[in-house]
Amino acid sequence: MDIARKCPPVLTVIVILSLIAALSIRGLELDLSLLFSTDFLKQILSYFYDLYPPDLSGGFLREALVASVETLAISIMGTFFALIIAIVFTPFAIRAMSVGGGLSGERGIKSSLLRSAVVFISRMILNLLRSIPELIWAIIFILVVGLGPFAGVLALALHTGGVLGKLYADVLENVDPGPVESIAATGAGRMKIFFYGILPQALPQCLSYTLYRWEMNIRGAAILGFVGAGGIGLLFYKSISLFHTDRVLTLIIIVFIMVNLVDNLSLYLRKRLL
Amino acid sequence: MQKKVPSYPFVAHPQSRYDSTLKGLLILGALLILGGSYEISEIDISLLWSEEGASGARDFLFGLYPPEYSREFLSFVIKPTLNTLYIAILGTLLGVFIAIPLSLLATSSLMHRGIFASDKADTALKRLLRIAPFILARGLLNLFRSIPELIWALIFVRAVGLGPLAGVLALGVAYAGVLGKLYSEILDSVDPKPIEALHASGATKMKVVLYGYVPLALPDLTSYTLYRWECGIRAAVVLGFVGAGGIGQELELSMRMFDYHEVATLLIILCLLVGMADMISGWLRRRIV
Amino acid sequence: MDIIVNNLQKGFGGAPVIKDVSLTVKEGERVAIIGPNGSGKTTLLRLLNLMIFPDQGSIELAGKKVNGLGVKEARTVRRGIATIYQSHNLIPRFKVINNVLAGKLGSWPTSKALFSLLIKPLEEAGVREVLEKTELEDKIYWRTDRLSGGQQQRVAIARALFQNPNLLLADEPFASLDPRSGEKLIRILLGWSQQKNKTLIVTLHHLEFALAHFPRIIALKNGMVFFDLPTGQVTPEHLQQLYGDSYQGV
Repeated sequence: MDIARKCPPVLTVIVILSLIAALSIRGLELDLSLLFSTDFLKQILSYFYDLYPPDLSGGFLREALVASVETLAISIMGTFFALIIAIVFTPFAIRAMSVGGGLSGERGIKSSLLRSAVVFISRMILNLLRSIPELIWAIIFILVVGLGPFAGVLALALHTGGVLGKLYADVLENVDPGPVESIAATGAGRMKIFFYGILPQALPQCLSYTLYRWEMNIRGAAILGFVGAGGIGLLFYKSISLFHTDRVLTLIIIVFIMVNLVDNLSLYLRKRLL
Repeated sequence: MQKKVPSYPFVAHPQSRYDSTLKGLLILGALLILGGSYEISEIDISLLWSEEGASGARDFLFGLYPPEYSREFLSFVIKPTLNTLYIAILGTLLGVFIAIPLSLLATSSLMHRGIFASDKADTALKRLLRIAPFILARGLLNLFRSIPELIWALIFVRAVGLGPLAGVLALGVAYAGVLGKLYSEILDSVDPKPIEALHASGATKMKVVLYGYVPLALPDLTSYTLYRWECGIRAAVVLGFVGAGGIGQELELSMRMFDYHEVATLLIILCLLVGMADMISGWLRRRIV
Repeated sequence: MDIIVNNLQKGFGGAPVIKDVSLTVKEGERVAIIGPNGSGKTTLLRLLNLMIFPDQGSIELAGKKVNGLGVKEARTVRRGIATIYQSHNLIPRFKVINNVLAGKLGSWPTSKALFSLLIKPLEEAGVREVLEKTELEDKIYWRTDRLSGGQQQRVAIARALFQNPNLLLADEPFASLDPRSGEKLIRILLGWSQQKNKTLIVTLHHLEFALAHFPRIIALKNGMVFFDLPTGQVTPEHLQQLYGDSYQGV
């Protein structure tokens, strides 16, 4: 393959991107002159300027801290249940482990057809869970379990469960086959092959992905409150809607600190794992 | 004779009391955190099987069928669907524009480490001044990245009014944070040898970036940007929930009206849109890498 | 364990890798299998340890026909066969003891296997005994990836011995080691076979090893037995014909 085909000329790319951008701007009926008018810029800047100073009164601070602890709890439980969902689905989504898979030792066309079907269906379910954003899951679960953090936990769990299930399946399918064969050669059965041959190779990567998704979920949990599924999002929604701009800044600071704490903790844990 | 390999302190004496106590404490801590989180998030699994819960789920699930497919509705949702696509494209492009300068400033090998570091012993103040833009850029990127795009959207809706512009700005700012951090990490990890060669030939910093860093890192940079655009579609859908237009706004309206037939159609469109973005960006990325 | 192989044939889609192999190995024999790359050595070993099944022909182990066995029965037979691989195929993150214990997985119930892995390694004394033979006793609780390549291959040998098999197969076990370490390891395997009167079959790249240590040599070429002779009768002409132009002499 020649480089020219792989890497089209810069000018072409810029022209294509500009065309796409122009099309999008037209489609959205955006008034670009607005962006460069001084009034408009002033309006935005004054909005951000008005955020200062933050509301640091004891009452609100306490409320915000309680909400952020709830956010943290939702993110942890959401990730935890996602882990369980992923663990339940993953074995069916892997060719070698699934019904009639190589490790069960069954041979023949019938079992291989059944296996393909089971793998396909499991992958489709995981895809569906993954495609629907957590916020939409949250609205659906509010219909089922009512307003509150539990709906948020379920929402994060389903979306993240889909993501993790796919990631786990990919990792487990790509382990080095050598050790797996050497365990199978001792006469071990499917379960023992999995625990002694496959899982120990895949575990660090799986745990690392799980921690990474937890980082994503702390951000996810912070917005679930917009639709009433618990956490600090509700305070955000209220403060912005009621023009409590000073409170908005407080909340931004709190979310910033919380997200950074989780990011760094998870980064530290992931580095230790690998 | 064998080489002597230093042993792992934790593994060499697995049965030591220190190790098992630490392990126990860690497990206890993890259990406490899980238990506490369980309490705080008001989890009540039985709700899922309770009369109300089950009927709520049933109403929703059965309400979905059949999806609304009247010609009127279908022709109506074309525009919001396109708008979501447009918001994702413009938001990602804006993110790239903001990310490029910030990521250059936030790349340590371009700023104060490696070949561009001066050997002269500067005064503390001078050194600080040289590092300041780096720290500032990193901090800004971190701020952009830490605040979820939906919160940015909520803020921008207040600042510039309801509509897609707020969505584009929110996505742009949030993705500038994500992309900027990624870009600077990628730039920091390019092969230093060609860079040094360029520098040694007397190229200015700007030229080293254009002829060294950019070509070396371009495949990774484009690949990650495409991946972000893919995520941007999903994000753009959600942004509609706070009034940034697009398919999310329709979804929110239909949900609020309990018109589940419309919800079903919109969810199908969403899955198709996400799947399509997956495919396009996957195809483009395979061609690049 | 006596091994009788008749007219074996095996392919993976394309041309058969094993075309027509028949051989008999008596209990307690020590056999080296040699042959150029692609001659079917590895496939023959995988057929013997029942990881794959022949397209045609039959394999008899200890007087029992084993091709066409069901899943469960095949597993039972595999328990009595230990295999050592060229790239040792250990789990890098496991402690040495867990990698050795994996040799007994065929006979352990799943519950015992999980207990040993998650709570506390079982049968430590037995593991120490085999590790003593491979001179790794002091590394029993080390993480396996902290060991050198030669040490890891010794762990793989310890695992095979721990399995206490009736037949030990080794697929170019010393290919990635320097000759001196290889020499040492081959003595461990030969000593075990001699002492317990158990069958040992090793595929070898190093001709010197094969000629120096094994009483019988089977040469494979293009999926067929090229010669099957006591070591004393193998002449340089044989080897020249076996390896063609690439043969440099021993």
